[in-house]
Amino acid sequence: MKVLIRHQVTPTLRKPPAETLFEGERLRIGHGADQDLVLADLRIPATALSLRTVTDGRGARQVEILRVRADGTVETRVHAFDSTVDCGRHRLHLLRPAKAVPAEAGIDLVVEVQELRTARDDRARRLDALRERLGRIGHSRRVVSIGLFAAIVLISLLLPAWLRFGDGQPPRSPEQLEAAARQLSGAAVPPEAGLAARLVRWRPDDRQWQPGPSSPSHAWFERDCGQCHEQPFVQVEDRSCLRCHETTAHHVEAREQLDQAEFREAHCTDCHHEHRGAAGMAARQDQRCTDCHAEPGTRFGTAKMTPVANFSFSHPGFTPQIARRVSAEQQAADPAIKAAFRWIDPEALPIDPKAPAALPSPKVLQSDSHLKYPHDLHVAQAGIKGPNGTQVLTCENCHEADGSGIGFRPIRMETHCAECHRLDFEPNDPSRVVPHGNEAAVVDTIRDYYARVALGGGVMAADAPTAVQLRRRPGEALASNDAMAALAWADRRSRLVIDETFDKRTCRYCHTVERTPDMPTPPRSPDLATRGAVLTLAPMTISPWRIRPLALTTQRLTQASPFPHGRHATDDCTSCHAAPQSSSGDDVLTPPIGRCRECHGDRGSPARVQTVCTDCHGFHTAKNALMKDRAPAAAASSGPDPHAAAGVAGGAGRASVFHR
Amino acid sequence: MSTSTVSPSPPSGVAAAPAGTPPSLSRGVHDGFLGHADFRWLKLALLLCAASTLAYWRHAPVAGANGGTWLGYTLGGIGTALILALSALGIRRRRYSSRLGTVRGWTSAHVWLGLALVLVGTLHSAFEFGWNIHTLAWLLMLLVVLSGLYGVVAYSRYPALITANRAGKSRDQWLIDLDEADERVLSLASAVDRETHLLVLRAIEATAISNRMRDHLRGRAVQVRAANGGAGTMLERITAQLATGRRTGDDARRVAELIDLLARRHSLLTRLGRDLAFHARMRVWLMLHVPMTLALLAALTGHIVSVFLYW
Repeated sequence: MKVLIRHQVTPTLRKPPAETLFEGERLRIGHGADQDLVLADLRIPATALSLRTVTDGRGARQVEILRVRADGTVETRVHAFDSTVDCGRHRLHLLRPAKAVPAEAGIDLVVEVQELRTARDDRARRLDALRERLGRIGHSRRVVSIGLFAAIVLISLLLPAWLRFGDGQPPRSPEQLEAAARQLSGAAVPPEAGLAARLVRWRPDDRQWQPGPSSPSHAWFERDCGQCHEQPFVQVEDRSCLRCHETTAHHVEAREQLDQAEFREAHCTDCHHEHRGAAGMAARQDQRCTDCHAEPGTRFGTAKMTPVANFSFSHPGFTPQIARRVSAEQQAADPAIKAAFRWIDPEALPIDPKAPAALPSPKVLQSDSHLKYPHDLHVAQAGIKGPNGTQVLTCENCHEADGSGIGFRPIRMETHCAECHRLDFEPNDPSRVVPHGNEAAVVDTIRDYYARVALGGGVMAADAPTAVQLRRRPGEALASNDAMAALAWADRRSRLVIDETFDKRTCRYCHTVERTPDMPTPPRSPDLATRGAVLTLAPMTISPWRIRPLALTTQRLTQASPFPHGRHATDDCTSCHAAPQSSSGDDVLTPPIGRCRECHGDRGSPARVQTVCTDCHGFHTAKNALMKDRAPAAAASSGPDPHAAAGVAGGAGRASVFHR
Repeated sequence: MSTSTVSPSPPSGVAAAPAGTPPSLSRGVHDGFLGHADFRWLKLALLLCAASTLAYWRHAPVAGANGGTWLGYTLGGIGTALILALSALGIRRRRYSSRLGTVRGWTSAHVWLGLALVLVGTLHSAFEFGWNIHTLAWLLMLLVVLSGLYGVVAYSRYPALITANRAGKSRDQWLIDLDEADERVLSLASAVDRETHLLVLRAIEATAISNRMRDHLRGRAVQVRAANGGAGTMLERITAQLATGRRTGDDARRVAELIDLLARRHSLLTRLGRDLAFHARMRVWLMLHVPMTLALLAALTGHIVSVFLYW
């Protein structure tokens, strides 16, 4: 093999630019002095390359190169002519001799040596590469920063905003809102739906903007923020709430109060805070109430309210509702008075709030109940005599919880009293009793009884006529004059027993009994009278006695919500109600507020159950005014789109009187 | 300065110093900017913390503390202003001609107010956290401040170590020294015999500097790929191989010189590896601090816009 080695001319070439001819089996190339081609580069092995020309299977000439690597391995590779081989900082051009040296024959290969870099350049290159490598340690702060910024803005701001407002109509119709809520609540994506459908649910929507968990009652549509947040950059308006809560009552009814700024400019969100979990929606902030009620006179002078700044110290004493008897003259003078009693304005006779802990004497406050019921006798620890001997009664014997956790079942004479308080009227026939609750029926029962007894005969009574005393034989008819005499006796006897039953023995024992002024004529229905009909078939019996109706109540504190007795069942009834000391049915047994304060205190009070206004008092208590009617403008508008009209009215005055 | 391409930016407090004037080593860069202007910014930060805490403690909003009360909005506003002002340090320290305070003062304010921001931001949140953009912003703020806190510690610790390790030379000088040592080793080895040269060449080619931050942090920036299973360092193996043959006269002298040179090269590599590790540990927090700042600014934008969008 003949190889012509040609050095390209470079300024730093040690050898003169010359051509040398090599003849041998293999051309050895490296930095070693014994090499056929010496390259002045210590970063290649002493023998770096070894090449020879070969002929491949098709007869074409090629160059086979063995390369010695630094780790001692040898790599063989076949190169075509006119290709290049790099070796350290040199490049070898493998030229076809016919092209390079056309004149000469017998040369198999021409190797042209090109110095790519000088030793100094090579070193600079190494150092530069190293410097660049060290300069790129870690990630690019700029790229990562901009990437993160863009990703967060996109995922947390732009995408949610686009998903919400992308249709260009943020304030949607109620129907659209409902449909969206149904879709978003998951109803549209069954559990067996594919991954894609479920991924849609995980899209970066505006859920990530929720500042906190929704209240349980609103959680079902929490994925549709537009249900409440209708307009962007506008605070949630009342109409969003009232769309569902349309029957929510107002706080007061008087128009002049509703027109005050306190009510006109108040908003649902002043008291009800969403996205604060389960506790947020229940208004438990006394300040909302005391803003007005601490000094009600300043703004609501006409309302006659007692100032209340807090529960522990400034809450007024309880003012239980009590009944007062109305005389017949009063009743006659005022046709509006229909009952024999009337409920007194609770402002009268308040229980002294300064008497804090001890139960009030039952005599402090009395209500005309018209029932003679001495609690002290009935619940005496020694017991009370009954038909089956002495019995010890407890409160629960009569006051049975009604299951609501609040109140009790009504007390019924038949259930709770009749076992002892029997309604018999004839000592010789104790099984016969009069019915309870209907004076006329009592009279009828007694009359019927004695008429039957008289006509039946065999009555052993000294004043009875003979016909009444005689025993009848079976089938014997009474002569008409005897019958008249018997009935006359029965009538006399009945009158006596009726008077005795009502006024002496039975009714008066518990009730207030009064004789009706005159024996009245049977009542006639006015409209029947005009048609000429007389109530001949109606019960015509009129009682000569009247039982005063009872003035009992289940809730004496009308300004508060019903007292949850169930939640206080851990205490004895008598720890609040002074029943064992009460000897009159007229006694009002409502405990004083001081009894409540023994256990309850304001928020933050130590060693007390922390209590807020709304634990006892409702806010939405007006009977004839709804929240949705409060803004005069909204009430007046009845256009085709009530939402729009309410929106105008609601949006007019956002400034709240409350401190937000 | 040639270091700018290789070494990370020097600590901010130093950046303002005229080129060629090294920071006072005895006092320490760290103590310098923290106590700037008689601890003015520390005092201001403490005042801010005390005022925020007092206001939060005294404030009893009817609906319970949250970001939507007047104090919540106030703290949120202060927090936003702080974040923007603190982020502006990144701009200010690149503007050498700016006369808006010294960079030293800015850095002092950056550190102390940044620490106060944790309290202000947390009180603004009223300790209400959830899986939402708002808590994301709070978390990112915390990450930024924590990474910055590491930065303060790193800048107090590593510059001195780096200076001591470099022994008065720049890193580039050490790189040049290393390359020169390579050249001399190769030249000497080729004078011994071709096997020795190949052995040394292999060792040099197997020596690589990793470009992975993780390797730098763990002090493994300079790596020697072991060709035949790593039994000892390449230096040890070369030494062992060189020492086995019987050598005489010039040859023995050359081998001894070569082993000496290889040992010197090895210590150079060790020193370089230490330098890279110190640098990585000194600047790794910026990998987190700066991107998290940008992420925080994005989350903060989302937080503010979404809060008022759904007011």
